[in-house]
Amino acid sequence: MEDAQIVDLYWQRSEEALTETERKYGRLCRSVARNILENDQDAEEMVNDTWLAAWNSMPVNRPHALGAYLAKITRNFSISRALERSRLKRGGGELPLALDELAECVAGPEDPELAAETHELTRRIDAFLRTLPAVERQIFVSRYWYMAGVDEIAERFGFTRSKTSGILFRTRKKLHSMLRKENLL
Amino acid sequence: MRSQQLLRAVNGVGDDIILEAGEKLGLLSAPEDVLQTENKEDTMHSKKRQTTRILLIAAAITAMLAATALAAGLFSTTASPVEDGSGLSGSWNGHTVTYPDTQMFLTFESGNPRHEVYFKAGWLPTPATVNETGDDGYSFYLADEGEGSVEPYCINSHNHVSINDIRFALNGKAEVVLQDEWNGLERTEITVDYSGVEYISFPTANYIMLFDPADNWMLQIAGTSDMATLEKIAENLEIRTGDLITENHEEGLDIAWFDLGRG
Repeated sequence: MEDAQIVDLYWQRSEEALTETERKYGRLCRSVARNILENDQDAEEMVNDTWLAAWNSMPVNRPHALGAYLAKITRNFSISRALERSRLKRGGGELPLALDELAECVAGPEDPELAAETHELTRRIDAFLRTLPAVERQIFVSRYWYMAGVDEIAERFGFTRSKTSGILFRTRKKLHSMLRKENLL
Repeated sequence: MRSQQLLRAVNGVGDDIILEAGEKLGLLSAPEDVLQTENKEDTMHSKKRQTTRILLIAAAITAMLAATALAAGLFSTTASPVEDGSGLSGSWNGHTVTYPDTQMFLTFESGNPRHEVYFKAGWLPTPATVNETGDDGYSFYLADEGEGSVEPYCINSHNHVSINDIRFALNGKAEVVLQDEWNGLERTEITVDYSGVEYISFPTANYIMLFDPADNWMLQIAGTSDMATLEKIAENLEIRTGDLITENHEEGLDIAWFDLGRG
């Protein structure tokens, strides 16, 4: 079923929307959650939360790319869960503090100035990614958006692990250089 | 800008970019039976990897900023300990060579074409007594070989060895004191205690390896100077990537040593 048809089902408040969403994007969202959480039970919970969020947000929203819309929700939920888990399990030191800070950010920026800066940063990173050769862009997004392992990425792209690491390293260098040049560091 | 901002910012990149990568990863419109199989496999391993994964999220984000040393699993420089007394053997032009005192060896992995590397030293603690510098002012080897039982520093570009095929041995008691991503390079700092090693006349030495897996070169700053001095040398280097290396000068060599003061 086409994305537009599924979104229509949401707008009609038809529960078939959830069945079709699961059929078409269950694998995508489940994989995003599992890459981040490494736990099937938690991942399943995040996917269910995603379906609920989708149900509650359509209407009003009418996403053009339903898969990306859902995957972004799953990713945010999963990162929040991972950070919460880390905060509960770990003791003192700087890492839990840093992760707490990340959790605050993931939960949603209260500071309008920070939100504006982040929005601008997104725009620059998006533009940066579009300047990259397709394979480099896909590998970078696989690693840092989907949090896929280097071995998995290497296998999917038919490269050696070292070549994949090399591409990631080079792309990070380019990103770092762009951020510095644009005074964003 | 802080790393958490980057995390949030990356989440908002274009839908087409996200779906493009998702498709390459095989996450869109995949048959359910594949999913079921993968679920079973992952369940077996998930508990074991659960804790480390949380750390890896932070590490991956931090590495994107090239800020600190948490890029776990991404380094192409590997320091491997050698069990006491077992030594390290390898081949050199058809001969077997053995370093019985080896306690650690390093490897540098990259699938990319190898390039030469040259440098200009902006700061040195003492004048160089050995100076291999080209007409353009860039060097490939600079050292103060010192007197007696010290060798304050040497900076070596290793342009003439096939760095990806060689295990570099350290024959004293070696300890990695830092490994991080520094100015876009992999930096590994090692302190070696040579007490009891007969053929080396100084008690300790420090080593900094700078490795660029993208252009596939490695630069070594080492010496009996303290680590802070060697770091200052490194921080003041102007580094230039040179030509593509098409010729292997050291065929049949798969073992070498890093140790200063060794022949």
